Amino acid sequence: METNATAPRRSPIRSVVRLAGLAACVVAGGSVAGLAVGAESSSRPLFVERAEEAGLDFVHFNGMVGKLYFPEVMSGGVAVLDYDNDGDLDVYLLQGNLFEGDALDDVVFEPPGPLPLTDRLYRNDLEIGADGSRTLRFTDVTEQAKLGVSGQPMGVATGDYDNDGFVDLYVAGLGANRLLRNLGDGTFADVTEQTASDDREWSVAASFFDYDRDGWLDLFIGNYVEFRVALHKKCTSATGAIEYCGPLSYGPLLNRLLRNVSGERFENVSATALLENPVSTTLGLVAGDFNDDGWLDMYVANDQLENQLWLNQQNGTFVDDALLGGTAVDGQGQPQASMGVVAGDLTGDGHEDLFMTHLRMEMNTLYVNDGSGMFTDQSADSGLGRASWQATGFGTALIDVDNDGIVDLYVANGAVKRIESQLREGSLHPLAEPNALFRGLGGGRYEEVPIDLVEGVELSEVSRGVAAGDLDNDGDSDLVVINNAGPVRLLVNQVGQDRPWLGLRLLLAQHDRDALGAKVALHRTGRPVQWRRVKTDGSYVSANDPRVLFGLGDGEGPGAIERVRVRWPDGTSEDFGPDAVEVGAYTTLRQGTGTPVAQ
Amino acid sequence: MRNDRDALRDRLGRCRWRGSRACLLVALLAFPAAGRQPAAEAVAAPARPPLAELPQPALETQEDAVRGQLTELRRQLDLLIADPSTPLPRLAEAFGRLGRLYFLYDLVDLASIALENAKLLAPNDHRWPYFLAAHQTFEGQLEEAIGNLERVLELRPNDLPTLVRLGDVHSKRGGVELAREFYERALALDEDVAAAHAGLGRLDLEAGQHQRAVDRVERALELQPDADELYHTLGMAYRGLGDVERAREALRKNKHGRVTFDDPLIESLGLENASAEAHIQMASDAMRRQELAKAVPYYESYLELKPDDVVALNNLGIALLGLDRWEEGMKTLRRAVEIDPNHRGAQYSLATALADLGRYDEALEHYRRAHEIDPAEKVIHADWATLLAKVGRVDEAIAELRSLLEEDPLQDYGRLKLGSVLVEAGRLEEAAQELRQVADSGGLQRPGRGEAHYHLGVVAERRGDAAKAREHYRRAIELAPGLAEAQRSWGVIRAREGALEEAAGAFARAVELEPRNERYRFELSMALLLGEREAEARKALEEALREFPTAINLRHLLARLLASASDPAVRDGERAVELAQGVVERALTLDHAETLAMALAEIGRYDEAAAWQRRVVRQAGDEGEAGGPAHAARLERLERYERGEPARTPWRG
Repeated sequence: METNATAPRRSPIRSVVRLAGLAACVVAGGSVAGLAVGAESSSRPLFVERAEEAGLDFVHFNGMVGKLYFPEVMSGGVAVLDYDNDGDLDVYLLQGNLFEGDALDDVVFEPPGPLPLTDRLYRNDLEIGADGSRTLRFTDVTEQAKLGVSGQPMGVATGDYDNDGFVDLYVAGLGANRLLRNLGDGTFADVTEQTASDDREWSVAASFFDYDRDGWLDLFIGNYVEFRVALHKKCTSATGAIEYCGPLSYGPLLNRLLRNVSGERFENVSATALLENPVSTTLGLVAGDFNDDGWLDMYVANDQLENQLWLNQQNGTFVDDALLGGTAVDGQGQPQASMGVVAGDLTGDGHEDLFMTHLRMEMNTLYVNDGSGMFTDQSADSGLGRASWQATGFGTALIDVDNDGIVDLYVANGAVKRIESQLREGSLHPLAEPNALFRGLGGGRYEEVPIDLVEGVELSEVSRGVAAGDLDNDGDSDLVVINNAGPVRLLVNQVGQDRPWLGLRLLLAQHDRDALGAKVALHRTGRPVQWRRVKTDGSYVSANDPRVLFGLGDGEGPGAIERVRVRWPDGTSEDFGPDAVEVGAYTTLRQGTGTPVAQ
Repeated sequence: MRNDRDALRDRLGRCRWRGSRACLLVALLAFPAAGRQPAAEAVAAPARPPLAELPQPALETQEDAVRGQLTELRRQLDLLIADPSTPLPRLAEAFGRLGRLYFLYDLVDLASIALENAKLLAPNDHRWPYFLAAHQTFEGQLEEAIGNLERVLELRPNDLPTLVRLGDVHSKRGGVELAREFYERALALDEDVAAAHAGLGRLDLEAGQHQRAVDRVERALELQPDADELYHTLGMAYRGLGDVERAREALRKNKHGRVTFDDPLIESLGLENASAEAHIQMASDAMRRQELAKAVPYYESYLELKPDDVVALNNLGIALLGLDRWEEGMKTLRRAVEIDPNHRGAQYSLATALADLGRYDEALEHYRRAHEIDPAEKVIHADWATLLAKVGRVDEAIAELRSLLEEDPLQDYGRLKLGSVLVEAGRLEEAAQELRQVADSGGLQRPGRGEAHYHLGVVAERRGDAAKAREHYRRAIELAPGLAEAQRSWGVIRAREGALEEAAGAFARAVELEPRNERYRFELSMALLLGEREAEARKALEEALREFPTAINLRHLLARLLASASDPAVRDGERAVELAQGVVERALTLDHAETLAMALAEIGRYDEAAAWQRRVVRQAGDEGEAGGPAHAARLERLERYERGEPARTPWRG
């Protein structure tokens, strides 16, 4: 087995931006017991890579045989989800296969097992020692769970579509998509056909969200381009050498909106609900309330075509207002190769901003929202743009690495055109680029910091999906990064748990279902309001932890919390007092148990 | 602001392979003649500075021509390196030449090393820091790029491309004041540099100076109309001013054409691209982006290397036709058909072009041939049948289209064409039935469904159902904003409803789509005039008359506007009289005569004006107009002339 073992390549920009680690930047004087984020931690890595040690032995296979099929460099999806409701996050990884007509003898990298390969589900058997130490152990339970999706899957969405209290999976791929119902007994069943949730195009992204407030999670499917092996094209580089094609070499496709009918089936409402639905090359999706009217909208990140901002008209329809909203193209007026996307308050002003990753030679983009759905491109001023110039970003995660209360950004990079210097060095998969971490400085400013890992491991790989979640339940966000034709990486956060934190799980009134779309605001005395949204979508081909985490920064105790206000997906709001939550632990807040807030 | 590689590829149009490829390579490989550097050759070479080692690129996968080109240049460089007597300028030239090619071919780290060596060896040659800066900008190494550009300015203080680049690079790294300074220095040298105006406009937008941004960007667009990416900046500026309508209108115009500036060093690189594959790839990319003007030179360069490639000829022909370069387009398509008479695409393209030119018989012949080559291709079949209807063979056309639909009932394109033929044949019920299926099925992309709605609008109008027509036209322009006739129909609807600004917008889009349509231009001018946008109306009419200098309705409308506009800056009595007299001489109608009266009044010839107006009033009365509002308006004007006052209401009444 050979992986993409290319020599680490750190970009010149990154080399000069080797600032002290996040921990070293923490304000001195953190004298509250438990805040061991001072001199001691300045030498501590931010993350430790523990995939193999923890039993995540997954190696992605992309089916490459030297023909440079476009889809082979796009795959690598991952979800973190608690499929068995035991309180910790399990890991679901999508696997590639040989393409139609190709022979095993021709593969560039050996497949990690007999063909056809299938997706893998790893159960988290987290061990917590008497001293509170946490050891992550994963067990491959794919067969036990009756999973085994084969073919060419790309992306994954998670959500409890039938409100039975068990999270389900939607796998988007080249060819058939699959809705995998969690039966609640540790197994899944393929219900695609009976629920009419398939899409035979090349789907990459999917997102569960309840756009019509009927209590059932609807499904938005992002389709990419019209590719079949028979349509494979020969593309070339500037020197006429054979090269991977880009999306515009193939026909773009229509996205789909499927309305959930009582958890029994889905109805394709694209034609009537998405007014003027243009063809797209969608790689990223994220739901949010971008004009702050209480209704969930959908942002669609397209590869080299204009992005879309579908604003919910509160009557079952959406209107794309990305052009006027300023999010269709970059500040120069050019569409970009949008890949992964996250939404959240990146500037700390209370509004839902957008960040998306792009191709090398395009800046990753930060669109700052003024609260009404009108955005401005602040990529350059934020520090996020330039630093991304030399890499192709895919997955991205909006997390507060050190729980200082300011969100940070992780970007999984990996090229889509072969890098000549790596070819020269004999790499068989010459697309490796270093992943990047941007530390939030507050006020919408970011700086790149090294991703310190133990034992000098440098994440310069062909990374694609990244999913964020607190896998060891210690109060900070860990990451699972999946590499195309390479091993999965488990980055266990080493610093966040040293600051106080508040973890919340939000459940609907009637069901034990995560309230995807709920907006949670944390009000504290003398501190700006922090807010998070309950969601699993965002990133690229990945699904995240639905729980929300608030880093409380330095010097804050539970007494500082005034209230937690939740705006539920159905539009109602409730307050939960300080007694309803616990600092340093996860608390479940159920709709209907708080104090109603007048609209 | 400007992607260098895009720029040089864009400029490949200037690349002309006058001789054979071999000749070009020889030319490329030739180093500057020794005679050009006699001093350097004559004296002992100075000590060579320490140079960075230049690795060999991975050439195995490259196209033969590129591999040969790079290998030969490298071989020559190695010979020069090995010879300690090589003069430094000559060695610099060899490194620089190779570095430029590495830059051209995206061999990024090699380009950097080679160009750095060239710069070290020839520190006073501005080219090497310039190429390095372009390369570094491309790589995001902005500080390094600034250093090199500043070095170029030391060597050439007024180098315009360098000033623009410095503005761009400072802008990219957030150095607003410095960026502004360099753009302004560029404009001090040449006030017509669109890229500098654009750069300043963007800085103004970021600073919240929205009106200034509008002014700057509009100036840039005047200078470089195809830089339509600037409509984004313009739209955002209007948004900042709170003018949502104008913002939307501007944003819709962004087709992503880039701002450029004259950049001879970078443009010269295009000549050196030896890759046919690269040329055809760039051509195809441009076609996919609908950037026909960019695609043409790429195809031309490619065809100089491979002159008999029918696919490329066909695509070039299509691009040329799309650019209204009919003669060249037809010649190219005929050449394609001549090389391969069995090429379906070429036959079809030629047929379509001939049909557009009104040469229906020839067109039908080529459609027939294309259909013979590929009877299963439904689009060809449908277009052929549609043309049959156009030449009056309606029943035959309908029969062909119905047979096509019998073979494939889901063939929405054929159904759309059938619907449109039925509309023209007046078989409205059948037409509506077919068109509704197309509009509702989703089998066609948006423009196709939009066209179906347009035809449904026509059906509804002919049936007198204005509300339904309105809804169909609205859907038509939503789905098919590029359908000029739908824009025009929507404009008419909105004008009738009194929404003159929106109507004018729709007519303007129709004009933009079909600038050679006289009716669209007239209706745009009329909507502007009725909307009391007199200056814009005058501008639109002047432009229209440049296109159609003898069009009587346009001349009449302009005469009336010049005679009676409420805005004195718009009025021009003398010209109005000249125009109106010409119009009256050609066709004496009540309106024309009244316009002449207005014009005469405007220049103070009230007696003549009153005399003409009396004739108008009398004649109108004879024609039964008396008592109506139009007649009242004519009488009012007559009274004004009798009092010695000019008319000031061009179209009231």
